[in-house]
This record gives sequence, C-alpha cells and structure tokens, in this order.
Amino acid sequence: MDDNKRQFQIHLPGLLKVLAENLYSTPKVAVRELLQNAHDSCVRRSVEDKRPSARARIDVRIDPDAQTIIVQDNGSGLTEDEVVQYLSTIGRSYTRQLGENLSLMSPEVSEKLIGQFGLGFLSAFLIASQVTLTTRSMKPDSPTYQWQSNGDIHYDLKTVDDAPIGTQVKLLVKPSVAYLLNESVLVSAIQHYADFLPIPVHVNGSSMAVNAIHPPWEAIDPTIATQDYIARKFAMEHPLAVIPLHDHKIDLGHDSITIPMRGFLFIPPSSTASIQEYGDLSIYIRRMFICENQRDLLPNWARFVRGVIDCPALEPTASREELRREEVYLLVQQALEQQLSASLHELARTDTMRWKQIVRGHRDVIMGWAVKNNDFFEHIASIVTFRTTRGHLTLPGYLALTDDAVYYVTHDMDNKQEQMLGEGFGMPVLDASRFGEIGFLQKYVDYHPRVRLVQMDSGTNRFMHPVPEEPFARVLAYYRSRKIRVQIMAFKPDVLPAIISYPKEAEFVRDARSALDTGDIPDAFAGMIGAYLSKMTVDEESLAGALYLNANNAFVQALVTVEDDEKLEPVLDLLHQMARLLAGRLLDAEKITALFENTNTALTRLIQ
Amino acid sequence: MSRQYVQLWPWFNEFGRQARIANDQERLRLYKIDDNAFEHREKNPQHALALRREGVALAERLHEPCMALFYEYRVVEVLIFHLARYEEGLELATRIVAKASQEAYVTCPARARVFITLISAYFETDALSYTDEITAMIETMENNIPLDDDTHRRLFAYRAKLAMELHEYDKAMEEALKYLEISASSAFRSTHAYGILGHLAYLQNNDRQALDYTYLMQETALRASQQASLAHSYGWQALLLFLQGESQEAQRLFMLAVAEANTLSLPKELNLLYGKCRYYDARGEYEKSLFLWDEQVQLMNPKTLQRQTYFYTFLRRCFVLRQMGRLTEADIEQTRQAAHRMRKPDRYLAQIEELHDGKTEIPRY
Repeated sequence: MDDNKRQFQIHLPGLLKVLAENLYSTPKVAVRELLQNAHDSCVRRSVEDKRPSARARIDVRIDPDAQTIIVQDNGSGLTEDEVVQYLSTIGRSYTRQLGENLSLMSPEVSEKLIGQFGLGFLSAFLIASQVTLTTRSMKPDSPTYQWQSNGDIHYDLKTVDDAPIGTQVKLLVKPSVAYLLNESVLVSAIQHYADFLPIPVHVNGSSMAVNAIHPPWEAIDPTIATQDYIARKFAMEHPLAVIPLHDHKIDLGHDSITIPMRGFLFIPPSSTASIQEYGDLSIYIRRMFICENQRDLLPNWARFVRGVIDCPALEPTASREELRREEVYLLVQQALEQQLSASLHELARTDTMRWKQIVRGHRDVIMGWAVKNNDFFEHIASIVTFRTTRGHLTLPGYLALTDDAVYYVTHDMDNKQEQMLGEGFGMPVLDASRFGEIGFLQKYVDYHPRVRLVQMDSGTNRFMHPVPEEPFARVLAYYRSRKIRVQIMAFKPDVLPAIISYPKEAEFVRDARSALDTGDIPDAFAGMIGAYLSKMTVDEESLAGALYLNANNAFVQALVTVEDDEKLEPVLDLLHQMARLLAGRLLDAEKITALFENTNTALTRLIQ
Repeated sequence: MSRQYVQLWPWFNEFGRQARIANDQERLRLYKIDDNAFEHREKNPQHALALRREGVALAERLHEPCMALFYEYRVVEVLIFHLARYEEGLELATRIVAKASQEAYVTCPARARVFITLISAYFETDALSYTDEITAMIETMENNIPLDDDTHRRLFAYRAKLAMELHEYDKAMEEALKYLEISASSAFRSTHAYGILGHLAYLQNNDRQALDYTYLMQETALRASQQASLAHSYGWQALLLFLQGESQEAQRLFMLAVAEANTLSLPKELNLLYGKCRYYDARGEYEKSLFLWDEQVQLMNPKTLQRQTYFYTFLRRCFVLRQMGRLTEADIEQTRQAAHRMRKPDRYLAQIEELHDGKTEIPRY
C-alpha cells in the first residue's frame, strides 16, 4: 500500500450543519422531504407487497405540548440493513436505489419516485433537535426498529415493540421553528409542496386529506378544474386564455425526442411593463413542487403569460429548489415556446376578439418584445392601439385618416401647440411618449415602407407656408424692434393666431450656459461642456424662440387695419405672451413673472 | 481634503420602500424600471433603453428631478456600453453633467454617476485625444465630488485603462490591481478588473498570468450573471490556451464563447468581435478575421465623427491584410483618414506607422 495515501476525515456534525442549514432556503423544506420519503415508501409497497392491506396514506400529527411533529406512512418500511445503508450513509439515496431496482420490473412506477440525492432526510435537522424514526418493513417477520439521532456523529438503533408496517418519523421541534407547531402553518406548507402528491395527507387525524391529490389537468373536467385552480392559487377569476400543456415531440433532425409535460399556461387580464410583468412558471417534478416564479423557461416575449408545469424530464438541483440548466432544460424551453406560439396563432385565427383583449391588456409588455421578435410583431402590429387626439386607434385605423404618415409627439399630449397644428391640417396626432412606442412605430415603418413618421415636437414649421411680409410690415417691425424673432406664415387651424417655436437644443444650451456662468460646473468638466457648446450653432436670439403669426387668422389680419400704435402695441404684446404660454416651454419662475408684468402692462394700456 | 461619500442604492431603495408603503403605483413603477432594464441590458438593450427613457419621462412627470437624473445617467450607460451609440451617449452625458452641476442637484445621490458618464463617453469616442482632459476629470471627481462606492471604483478602472491606451503597462497594472482590491465585495466590478488585468498581462506577453486572470473573470462573471463578460472570458481563455498549445480545449472554449455571445443582442463590436479576431489571427485564419472586420466596416456609420472604433477597425483590418500580403496603400490611406477624424490624430497616426515596422506578426492588441 502506498504510505502517502491518506483518507479524508469528515466532521459529521459540521457537515450536517452545512447541509442542513445552507443547502435549503427555508426550514419548511424539511416538510417536503419527509412527505416525499413517505410517498416513495408507499409507492414501493404498492409494487412489492403482493397483499397490501390498506390504501396508502400519510398522517401528520402535531403535539404542541411535547413540541413534536410526527410524519407517519403505511408504506414499505425499512429493514435493519436499509436503515444502516440509506438512513445513516450520507449521499446514498434510498429512492435512487429503489428506482434502479424497480425500473426493470415496473418502469412506470419507478418513474413516480421523487427522491434521488440521499440528502433529503438530513433536512429533518433543519427543524428538529432530535429525530426518532420507527420502522417496520413489509417483509415477513420483520422486527420493528427505532433509529434515533441528535444530529451528531452518533445514532442509536434498536428493536422495539411491534408497530404497524410503515415508518414513523418523530421530530423534536427546535424552538426557532416552533411556528411549525401551528396547524395552519403546517397545513399551508404541506399544500405548498405536496398539493398534487397522489397519496392523501391527513393532519391530526382529520378524515379529509389536506392536499388536493389530483392536479387540475387530471380532473374529470380539466377546463373547469384549471379555472378554479387559477382563481384559488393565483387569485385571478377570469384569465383571458388558458392553454393546456401536453407531451411534446421535438424533431432533432436525425432523431426525435418526446418531452413529457403536463400543466397549463394562462394569460392574466392585464400587465404593466416593469411593475407587473409575468412570464413565470410554477414547476413540479413528478407532482412534487420544486419552485415558483421560474422566469427562464418561457420565452422572453411571453411576459404576459403564467403557468404551472409538471415535467419529469426536468432535473432538480440537490436542494430540489432550483432546476439544473442542462440540455433537457433547453428542450423544455423549446417545447414550451412551440406550444405557446401554436396556441396563440390558433387563438388569433379563431377568436379575434379574445386575441385583441390579450394584446390590449398586455400592451406595454407585448409592444416591447414585439420590437425584438419579428414573428410576434407581425401578429400584433395591427391590433395594438395608440392614444391619439381622436381617441384610441390602431395603426391601420390611424393611417386610414392620414396620408400614410404618422404624426406623433414624444412627450405627453397635454397642452401642446403641436397637437393643434396637426389637427389644424386635419391630422390626428399620436402620442408616442410611453414605453416602447417609438421603437414599435419604427418597426412598423420597416414593415410598411410607404408609411412615414413625422415627429411633431422636433420642429413645427413643416406645417407652415410662407406668405408675403409686406401687408404685415408694421406688426413685424414692432416685434423686431423688441428683438423678437418673428415671421408671418400661413398655417392651420385658422383659429390659432400665433405660436412660438424653440430650437431643439434651447433648454440644454440655456441651462449649460447658466451653469458655466455661475461657475457651478467643476473646472475639468466645464472645459468639456464649454467645448461642446461652442460646436453648437444656437445663438442667443434663437434661444428666445421664434414667433410665427398666422396669416390665416382673422384677428391677425385685423391687426393690419389698426392704425393707432397705442392700441396695437399692447395687443401685440399680449399675443406674444399668449403664444409663449401655449408653447409652455422655457418658462421658469423668473420668466413667468416677467411674462405677467408684460401682460399686466399691456392690459393696463388697453383699459386706460 | 478628505473624500466625501454618498450612498446611491440606499437612497434608491428607500424611494421604492416609501412608494410601496404609500401604495403609490406610479412611483413603484419608477423604482422597478431600473431592475427590469438592467435585466435586459445584454439580451435586449433596445428594450432596456426604452425602459430607461420611460424612467426619465415618468420621473419628470412625477416631479422627481433626482430620479430623472438617475435614469438619464442610466440611458447614457446603455447607449455607450450596450448599444455602442457613442455620439448620442456623449451628447446626453454633456447635457446631464451641465444639469447635475446646478445647485438643485447638489444633494442628488446620482450626481457622481452622472459625472463619470462624461469620462466614459470621451474614453469610448476619442481616448487618445482627450487623455489630459480625462485625467483632469478623474482627479476632479476624486477630489471635489462626493462619490458613491461604485463610482469610486470606476475611477481606478479608468486610470488603468487610460494607462493601457498609452502603453504605460506597469502603471496600468498598478491601477488595475488597486481596482481589483477595492472591488472585492462586488463580483460585477471584479469581473471588469480581472478583464483589464488579463488584457494587460496578454499585452505584456505574460500568457500564463493572463489565463489565470481570465479564468477568474469567468468565475466572477458567472456569479454576477454577466453574460457578455462571460463570453469574453471564454474568448480570452480560448486564445491563451491556443497560444500554449492546447488547441483542443481552446477550440471548445471558443465555441462556448461564440455560443454565449450568440444569445445576446449586443452590437457586433461589443459582442466578441475582438475576441473572435484575436483567436482567428492566432490560428492563422486570416480570411475569417478579415471577413469580420469587413463586416464591421459595413456596419459603421461614416457620419459619426469621433469614433475611435472606426479608426481601430480600419487599423486592425490593415494588419490582417498585411499578414495576407494584400495590404494596399488605399487601405492605409483609409485608416489615415479615419485617424484625421480624431481631435488629435498624432497618437492614432503613430499606430499606422507600425504597419511598416517590418515585423511579420500582428502586434498584440
């Protein structure tokens, strides 16, 4: 023997502590592990015991006074060898061994077994300071054994008085998790993890099982059962659609593979980007709950879909609270995307109203992802509605009113002159200020090259036509004498006498210059900002905006006839200030004060 | 003067907490947009941009100026680091620095982040012309602007990267190691630091050390769920293993890098372009490398004036053509023209001279 070869030493209490305390996210997982062991034991008995005497069941009893929880099954029980081999050898899984044994004689049953890592029983020490297991094997003439451990390196194993066939696990509950001794808490944990477990779980002798036993997709009427389940579990009474999942055959080119899956996807009534997006699944493997809020199995664009899936092909991690991202995971992703896409296509084809409800209810989320996914975009492009000055319209509906152009603004349409200009030309203006709307419009144009996008808030003079200045010379001269940039133009609507247009960069230039002047910008940065500003071609006068008088407006036309300067000047001042208010930009407190001073002066002149 | 610190995330999270307590759905949405956008930054950066812009608009509508500034800084980040829209990033960075300098924003915890965006923007558009200015901005931030932890770390990163651009490798290594040291508590920053260190070691022909750093980059990228960095780390390891004669493992890692990069929607120039070309060059597969650089030339917008990537694309292409014996004066002139687009072309032009150095290998880059 090689003298240099040494053996690892294992500090069992430390290992137990690490496994028990760090492997799992919550102590309640211990409940799942114990129920799962009980389930597997019952499955084994159903196969191996030729003369089963009772229907399989699991009983959970709580004794708050004794601080104990007992989990008892009438399954196969364990022999002395099995207790030593599987219960007291970390990493050796009783269920995995059993699965291998059963796979030849009863493969369909072996697939029902859940455990496999040989670590689950350790989780009992998450919630118990002492674990006592009493078991009697179904094998003829088996004695009853009692195994006891305090979670350290030692355990006791002895024979005791005969007990019924099966296994009883008694947990002396740690004070830190005493809340599990509350019946409602424990029942809730059982329902969380083992609702679909096919063996009834009874608590404190109740004749009614606390778990549902049958998942909704196995009910006699799966449609109604699923609706009920969604209402109960997800608190959603009226999902817009429910899509049952089924086994899925995936073509691999040289071969094909069938992914076994059950469950359903559903579409809630509405979502909101960022705040209430979905795209999540609750995952079960062989009916045992693994995790919820799993967001990577559904395609990215399906953030308006939720669901529940039971897929034995998925592989859990050792803690069984996550999924392993292996090849089969990708295949399940693919299967889900294909089934979801096919169902949505079918829905769009056969139930147009419902499809529209879906697209409108999840508008933000759907629009965002449609920009990225061409196939998806094509299905929803004509259904999504936009806010316009004529109410909510789809793009085809909107384009029917315009000359194949989309006149849009990128800020909220509250009180903006651009709307009036657009409407003046008989064009509804579309509000594209919300999430993803511009990207969506741009993509729409890619698909429909005849359509033009016209941004209304990037420059207004595209809706104006120059007219001769001469008839308005006195009016224009007055403004110019006051260093106001002014032009006479013809534009719609006629009712609008004047507007002010500011250069795109005006706010930035004004703020940056002000910050540079006051020395607010730290030196090293000031140089960079100054250099940047110097490259811009915005002068002081243009910063004040350009006033456009509307030659179509009857009042503006009437101004030409006013000969008395005393009357004309205050009216022109008022007209200018009205236009500034309508534009609503670049008005800080100081400027608003000046505006009202000017207005007051003008009004005073008029009444004197 | 002792450095002042600010806390960005406690402020941000408190905003979310208050919104939740008040059941203020709009402010809660404003708070959550950032997480959502961050999640999409590599797989759907357009989506991330749209979300962040919505954040700006929503914050303005809710009269939350500091939140608006925060989201504007986030917009710059996605423009520069995930969409390679450098000029837009520079323009917005300039605007928000001017804005953040105003009295009203002095106490806004996002202020330091805003200032560093201007450094990022100049660094990515024309680093060699603005070395003095970038250095001055770093010093100003270090001494005069209250910093949050992450911004403080990034200043070290920029010092290291600037020294690397100037081929001052010892200084770069020193700064990068400091960067790594103060980034110990952040897997995200550690990934970046290991990336810089790996690149530096490679440039100094220390392939063994570079391999170690890029392996550590992989580990931290996995921890921080940084897929683009993960792809880069695989790409680096593939190259370095190939150079050490382990071609089979190198090829496996290269395929892994490409597969990882293919799941992202980043612009090609940010998505393993350099990693792929370095690897192909090392293997002597110049046609493949040339194809990628040519493709990049097609993708670039010649109207953008200050893009160093424009210059480097032509330069790298020239080196590949030289290896293939197909370099023409027209190719060099094209590169020279690209150099003249920069504010101070000298340092860029000097790199073109290396094409005539008589060496038979592509210099490391």
